Amino acid sequence: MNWMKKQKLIGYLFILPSLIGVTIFFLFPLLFSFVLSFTNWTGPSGQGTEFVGLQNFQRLVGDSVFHQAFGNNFLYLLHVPISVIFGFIVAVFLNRSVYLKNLLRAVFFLPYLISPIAIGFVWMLLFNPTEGPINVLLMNLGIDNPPGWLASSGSSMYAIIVMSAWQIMGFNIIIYLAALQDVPRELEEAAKMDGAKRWQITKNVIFPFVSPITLFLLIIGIANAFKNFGLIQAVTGGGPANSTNILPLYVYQTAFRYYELGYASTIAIVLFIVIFAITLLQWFGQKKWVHY
Amino acid sequence: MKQNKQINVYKTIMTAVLLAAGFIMIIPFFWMLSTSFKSPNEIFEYPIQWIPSEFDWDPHKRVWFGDLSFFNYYFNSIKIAVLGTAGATFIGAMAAYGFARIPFKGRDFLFLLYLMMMMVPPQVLFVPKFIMFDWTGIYNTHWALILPTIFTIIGVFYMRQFFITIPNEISESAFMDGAGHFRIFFKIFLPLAKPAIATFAILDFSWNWNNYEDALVFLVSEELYTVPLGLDNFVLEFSVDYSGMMAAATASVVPIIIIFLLGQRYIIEGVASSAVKG
Amino acid sequence: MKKFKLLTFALLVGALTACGGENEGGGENEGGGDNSDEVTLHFWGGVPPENGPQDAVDEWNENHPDVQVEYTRYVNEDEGNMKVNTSLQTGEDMDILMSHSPNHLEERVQSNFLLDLADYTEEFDIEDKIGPAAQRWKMDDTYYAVPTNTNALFIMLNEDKLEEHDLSVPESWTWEEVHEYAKVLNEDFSYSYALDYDTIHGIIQNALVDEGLVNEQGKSNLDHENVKEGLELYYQMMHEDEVMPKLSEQVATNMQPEQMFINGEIGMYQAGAWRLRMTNDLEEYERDFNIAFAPYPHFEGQSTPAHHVEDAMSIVAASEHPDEAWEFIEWYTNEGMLHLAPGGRVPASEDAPAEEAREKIVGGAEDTYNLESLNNVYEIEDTEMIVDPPYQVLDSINQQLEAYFMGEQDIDQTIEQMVNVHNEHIQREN
Repeated sequence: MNWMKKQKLIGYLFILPSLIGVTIFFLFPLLFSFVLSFTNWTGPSGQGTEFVGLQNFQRLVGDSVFHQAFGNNFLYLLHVPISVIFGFIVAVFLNRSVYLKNLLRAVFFLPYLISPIAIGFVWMLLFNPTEGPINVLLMNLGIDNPPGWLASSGSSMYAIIVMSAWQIMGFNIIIYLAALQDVPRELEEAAKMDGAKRWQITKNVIFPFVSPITLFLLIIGIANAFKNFGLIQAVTGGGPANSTNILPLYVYQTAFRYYELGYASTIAIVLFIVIFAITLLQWFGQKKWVHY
Repeated sequence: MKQNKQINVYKTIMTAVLLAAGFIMIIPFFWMLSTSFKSPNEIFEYPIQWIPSEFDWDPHKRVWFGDLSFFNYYFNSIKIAVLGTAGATFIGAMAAYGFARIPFKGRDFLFLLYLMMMMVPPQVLFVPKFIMFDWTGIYNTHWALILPTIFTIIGVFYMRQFFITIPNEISESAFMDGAGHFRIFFKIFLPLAKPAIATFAILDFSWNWNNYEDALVFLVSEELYTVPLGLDNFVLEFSVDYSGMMAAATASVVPIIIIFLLGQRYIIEGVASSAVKG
Repeated sequence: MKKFKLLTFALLVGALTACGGENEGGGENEGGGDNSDEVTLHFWGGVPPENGPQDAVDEWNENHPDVQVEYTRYVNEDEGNMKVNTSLQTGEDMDILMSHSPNHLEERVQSNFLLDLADYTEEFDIEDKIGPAAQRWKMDDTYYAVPTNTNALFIMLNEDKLEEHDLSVPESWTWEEVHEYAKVLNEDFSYSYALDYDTIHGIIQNALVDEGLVNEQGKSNLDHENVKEGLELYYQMMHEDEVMPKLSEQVATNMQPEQMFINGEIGMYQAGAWRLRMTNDLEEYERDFNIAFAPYPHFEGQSTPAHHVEDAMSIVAASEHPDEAWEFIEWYTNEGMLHLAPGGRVPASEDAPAEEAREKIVGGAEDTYNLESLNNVYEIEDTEMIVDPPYQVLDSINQQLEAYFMGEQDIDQTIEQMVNVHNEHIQREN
């Protein structure tokens, strides 16, 4: 009994190194950020910093760039369902009998691992409005006025959406493929016996079966869409006319271009609250779809 | 016989369709590689010259032997990614074992805390980390990137999911034999978890290799720059040198592609099982 | 849990106080007279070393074996300036710093990174030597930096084509006249008028040259009629007369107007002395016409924008050798600057050999310029300093201008948005 107790206490030893690090590098900065969001810390060294109460939060309400970035962020989310839908379709096809399955799987997954910066620069040239291969192709297909893509504020976000969807689709495919392995054969067979067509089986049997996975992918994708800004920072810097500015990028700019570190913390905290709401969704939803 | 043949026709068509789709997926890579060998006036030629009429090695020379050499960036990135990944794998695996197999008091609360931390956007931490790192003197050193990644949260989560699936009987019988948790962890779980650990290590390496945001904020001296930052810098300096840009992009993705080719079974299966089983 | 909370709180307080008090040690000066006979000064600037600073530093080092200077270049972009600020913050070796925008200087002054030069400028009165244009760098009624370079602003003209159309080289002109010139010249060029797209906000600074960014009531002046007039003129030149590249096209194609000007595809290129380095290099940038120079246009009844004085040098507060640093700055401002002339930089100080420098800035291509018009540009009278909006406002201006010139919002919306952001900013600062 005593030995068992001791063994339980050893549990703390196992997590201790991690816990210390997480406290220093995650928990403490998070609390610190919360405190900072109520200060007017400006400039690299923060001389003369004072607590200003809710002033920063009030400023957010009237900050048009913040509103725009917030709206853009939701538009940017579009790449998540797109990549999930295409990911599902490709996975279903891949899961049926095809040759070269492993090769295909690898090809689809590769972009997921590649640096968004590197690939962003490649897409930037592909999307070049006058000479880039994409628009040249479109013009050859008879579209006289192809979009200006990254150069026009009306279409820039869509170009970013294409890049991001392309990048994360591989992840979705792999996850779906694994989930499809678990679809019970009997279910499919039974449906077939009833004379259901292939697409009906997909729609009525397979899709519902993997729907928890779909939810999982949507949530992960959406949370990440509120976190990553490297691609956008490198490719457009948020422009033109702020059309690709999203919240995480605005935090970065406010902090390290304008040196309004207090206000940047405020925006970051709001960003966290948004993501946290999504986390809660995941937490409450998980009982329905996580099966150990 | 006849039926068999029919199936094969269907299978062939499906394969062709997916190959076409897959081709679209990797076109950007081909284009990048091919452009990196082109002279400026060839870049936007139409129809696209997939194989340049003449291989121009200059762009690659500019990347590797120019004013901003990628050798240094490579060295820095490898250092950060290797140290960060090694630390994260070990510390993460330990914590994962603790969370998965030892029912100590407060475990669920702490795990919930970890899950919450996973949702914290890195931007929330930028400013306080900037101030803290500055204060402790690790700002603008590689430690500013290595230390936080060692204390991985997603790694703990990921490896915990794997440890949970290991049947209880295995550790229970070891317990009966008088083995403590440390022995069980090192002698039984680590060897069993090799595939999961390998998967995590490869993924973590690629995240560390690709980490642009943190490097952007926490590294300022050019001699400390990592590959993504170096790439960004290259593009800033030579904004119209498109073939150089593509050569630099190529340089920055090649290591990941090699690692992926070597470990793709681990990665793909590992990623899939963690998410679905978890 | 309680202990944990306490710990966190302690850390939090610790961090806040530690950070707040960190710079106090910065001001201690040990003077230059310590035992080591050789002093090394670390000089940071944004000018590429090969454009002159290295030569200047080399010359200094040769003549001052006991005070050696090392030049470190930073890229004058957001990332580079962040690097400078954090290096100042973390106390990296830096004695002399060149700032390239008053906004950056202001950040650094607010953070007490730089020395007030009042003690040194008794012998070297900045406004006396450099003129009123130096005020652009004045902060809190004193100077923390000495601007070194007169960065001439001018419009490069394709003189050959001007002559074909019997157009004279203007010594002073209004925007309306520019517009007329552009319409006449347009048949010979892809575009008769162009500028670098990231300088497009210049029209607003130009419009407010006499009025200032903020009006007497302490409100934004961005709704001044000149601003509207200027923006509408650009819009007309882009979209109606098509004498100027559309902003969207220019961004989209990563258009290089300087290259197009040299190729004879653009008739008038709004730029400045920094482009002379390129036009001087006839080997790399072949050109078959002469260039004449005109000052920036002005609005009806307003002054012509004066040249920028730039590249302002400061002594870092943490430097252990401020006296030596000042000595170097003074030398650099006067003699050292000569090494930068081939890059288009003319010394701002009146003690410096300006004549010699002005000859050097066109070195190698003298015969391909209308030198008289270049001199006129330098000598032009009735000029006013250009106003610099703070970054938040500047970014907002650029965003609104992009939206306007890309046809997404009309002029009134554009101005309203700019004014709002500006007024909010003014209110916050007070």
